[in-house]
Amino acid sequence: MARADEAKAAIQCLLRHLDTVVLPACFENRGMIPFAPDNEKAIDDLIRHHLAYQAIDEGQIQLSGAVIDLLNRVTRNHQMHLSGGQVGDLWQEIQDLAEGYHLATRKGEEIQRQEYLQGIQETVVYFSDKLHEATLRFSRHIYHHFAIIADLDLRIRENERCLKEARRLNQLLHTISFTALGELAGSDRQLNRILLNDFRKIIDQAAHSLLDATHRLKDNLGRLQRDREARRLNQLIDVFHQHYQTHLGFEPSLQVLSPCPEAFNRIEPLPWLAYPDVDAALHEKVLSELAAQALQANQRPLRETAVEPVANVEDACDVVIDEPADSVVEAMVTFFDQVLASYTPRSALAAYEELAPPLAADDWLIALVDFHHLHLADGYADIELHFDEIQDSLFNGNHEVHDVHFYARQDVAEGSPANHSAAQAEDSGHPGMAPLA
Amino acid sequence: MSDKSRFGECVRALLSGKVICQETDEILFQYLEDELHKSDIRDFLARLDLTLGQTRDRAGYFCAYADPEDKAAKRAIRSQFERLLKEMEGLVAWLILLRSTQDDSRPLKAGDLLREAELLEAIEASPELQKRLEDVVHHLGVLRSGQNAKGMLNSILKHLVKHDYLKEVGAGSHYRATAKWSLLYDQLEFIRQHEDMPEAPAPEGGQGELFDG
Repeated sequence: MARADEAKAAIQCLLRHLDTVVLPACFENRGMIPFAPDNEKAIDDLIRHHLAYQAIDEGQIQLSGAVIDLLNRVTRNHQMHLSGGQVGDLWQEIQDLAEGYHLATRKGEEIQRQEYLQGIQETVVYFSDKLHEATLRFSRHIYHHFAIIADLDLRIRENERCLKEARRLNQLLHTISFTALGELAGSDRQLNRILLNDFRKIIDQAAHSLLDATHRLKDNLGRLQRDREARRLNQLIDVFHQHYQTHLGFEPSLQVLSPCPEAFNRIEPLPWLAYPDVDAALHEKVLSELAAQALQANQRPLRETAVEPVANVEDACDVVIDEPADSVVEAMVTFFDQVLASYTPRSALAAYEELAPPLAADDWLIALVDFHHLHLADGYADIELHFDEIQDSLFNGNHEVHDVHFYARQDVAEGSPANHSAAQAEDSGHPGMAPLA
Repeated sequence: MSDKSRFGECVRALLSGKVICQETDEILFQYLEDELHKSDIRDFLARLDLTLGQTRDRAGYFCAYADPEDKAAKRAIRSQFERLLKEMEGLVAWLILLRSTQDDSRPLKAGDLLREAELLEAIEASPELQKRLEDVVHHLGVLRSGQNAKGMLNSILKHLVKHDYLKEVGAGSHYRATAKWSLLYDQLEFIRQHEDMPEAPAPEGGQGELFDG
């Protein structure tokens, strides 16, 4: 029971000096207990119970890390000074314990093996708590701690520090890989369960939380930096605005440009022109080539868009153009001349055989009728026509024309064309050939 | 389009004195964001005694003289500087006016969208802003007789578009701020330092939101 008594005595010692020494030292003085006559008894008690020790350089008494951790843990609103290095130490401790465990197993030292196993389990739990608190700490910084820092520059600096620490911790977690844990556990079933199952889950969860915290820290940092830049620009604008109000007609000195700062060193627009030294013999060959290329380039569009020759336009209103006559028209004119000359009914179909115009017989008949109709005013009014047709038996409105007879009118013709026509009609056996009245 | 064509397009834009940014020409800006392309452009410009400049916020690229102390370069830079002086007060007045119309008092930056209708609504609702608008019009030299707030605002916006500070977007009266503002801020910052102007006072109202956590 000596150990239990020792623990009880230590706790009672803590309680006895808690309000006067321990809490002020922990929360207000980074764990330092100043030498003072009032503190003398407390310092002796704490050192005796290993709850404090004399700092080497500081010349003061430092509370034990275990006490500070305990108080931080139970209050939960502390700033936990966990660094990648501390987590690294815990990882090293787990590795050392695992090696001891394997050695004890090989040697058959069951008690030591159990102690090592228990040590590993406790360290894993401790490691887990530390990681959890570390990630919580980043979140607390983002949502609470930064908010109470009024100065923007300090806030940015603190954010950058957190981000750096988060990255360092993240790198450490990456080194605790599945392979590394597998090698550490070996083929031992219990170690496999602790390291590859429990511990691995903790690492994965912590890495995930850390990544999330890193993103938020980055976002926060970006926003703070934008705010700082906005503040800088606003201040700059205000300085000039007020300066213009107090110094009417203010113009900065041209000395600003000596030496020219980067902000004013901007070119004037440059024209795309080149002036070669045409007299330089050295450049003769190059210039000749350039000239040839330019000439070619200039000629190319001319070839592509060939200019049409200009046609001379003359006023030809009074000029009679002698065009070759159409053979069909020629045949029709001949036909009607014959009609007028003979004053006898003349069959269009018979004329078709005789004159042989270059078109079908029915087209010839139609052409003659149209021609006659078209030239009524040109002297053809004296010519009458008669259709040699048969009424369709099925469709009584339709007439099938077999031939057309043209003849000069009676008053124009010499003799009696009507009689003549009638005689002709009788001769041809076509009673319908009698001229129309 | 091939890299070769893009290279040519980029060089021509730079030599024409443009500030290439995401807003003025997204494709050329992305082309210049590639380190390899940037290096090619730099090499080419170096042969013309030029170099590639960039605004402090990295929002815009422009062509600069490799040796700004060269006589011809100095003359050109001085000419630009004198042009800037003529409109600098107007531009600052415009930035003040614009900031006053924003709920969060943020300064105008490359990429910001301006809606003419919203600006007009805010200006017409405040006599103070109308006075500021008149100041801007006066200092930028775009004043025309008998103009109302709408006409004045439109004149300013057209003027800023003409000088590449803004780019019209879409069919409506929407404008996107270009990286020429970034360049202007760089220039103002340098003048402030050179002229030993006092450190800036606290910005006018509305800044609280910028610092909330």
